[in-house]
Amino acid sequence: MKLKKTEEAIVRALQGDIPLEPEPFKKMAAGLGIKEEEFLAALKKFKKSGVLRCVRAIVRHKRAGYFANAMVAWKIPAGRAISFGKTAAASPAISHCYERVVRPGWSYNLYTMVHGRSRAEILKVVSGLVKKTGAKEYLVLESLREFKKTSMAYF
Amino acid sequence: MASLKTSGEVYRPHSGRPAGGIRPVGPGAHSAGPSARCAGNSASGIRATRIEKLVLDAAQTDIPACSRPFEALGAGIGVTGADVLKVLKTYKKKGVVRRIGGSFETRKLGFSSTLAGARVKPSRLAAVAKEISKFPGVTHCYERAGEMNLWFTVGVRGTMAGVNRQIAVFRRLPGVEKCYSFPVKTMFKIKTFFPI
Repeated sequence: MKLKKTEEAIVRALQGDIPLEPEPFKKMAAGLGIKEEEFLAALKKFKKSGVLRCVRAIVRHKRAGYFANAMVAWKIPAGRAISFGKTAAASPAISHCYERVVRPGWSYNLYTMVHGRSRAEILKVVSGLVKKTGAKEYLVLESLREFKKTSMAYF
Repeated sequence: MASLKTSGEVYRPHSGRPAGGIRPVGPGAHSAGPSARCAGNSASGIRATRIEKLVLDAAQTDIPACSRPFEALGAGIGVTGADVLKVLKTYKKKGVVRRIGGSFETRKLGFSSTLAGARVKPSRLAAVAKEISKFPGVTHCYERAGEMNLWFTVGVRGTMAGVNRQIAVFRRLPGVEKCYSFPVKTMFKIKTFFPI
């Protein structure tokens, strides 16, 4: 989607924090020298076209009590990738699920991000998924150190 | 990680509840009074009031695109706009809420992105991770257990060619033994929601 300059400015404003006051978009619009109606219209257009998933609060999961997370890489036969993806996506403990390309020496094709309050909870989610899908090969890649975690700055 | 402290409050991961993954907690699941601390009733195990939980759960889902969004959000859960703002301000200050803003679909904004996995000599891992993290298009960078010990995301404006060029730059950093890009073939889910 090709954005106009004003629309880019609106994305720039929304990729940061919205002001915590009763009429946040009015203030953001004023900062860009446009009317609140124009700002809201762009917001709705972004949502409708799927450019903007939503405006929301993003929590630091560890501070919110979800102390454990793991990226699990799965080797799923090509014909079963879609059904595996759908089953994994249905789990509320799984936040991200993708099929990704494979590389020589690395044939894991499905990736799931699993969150839980403990390591045991994560492993339980993984074993549940194994039982449901019959998946045989997977790696639980627990995070040992976080070097960077931020939101994308687009414009 | 069990003793995170913020603003003097200690979060106690609740351990008495049977394990079983993240469970959505709807309004019906809260039985304590409005001001009661109900850690035992919490999905996350952190100590928060019923109203705080309602607000934090709703705000993680969708803040509506209207003139008075916090009031509208509150109307759906029986909380005033002023209380919604109060809770969000408090939890932002505590560091539980990282950001309140837009979640965009990278590809629809004309960007390309990938997940990259690298094997880095352990003695060089921190230095390489820091160097890679300097690039603004890298939003996540983690050391993980296993053969590939560094995982990060890369996003750039334009086509995948730009992503690949950036990966090639990272691949040449001293200590990087392997670095693969694993772009998405099919997206099944992207929804981060941590019920409080």
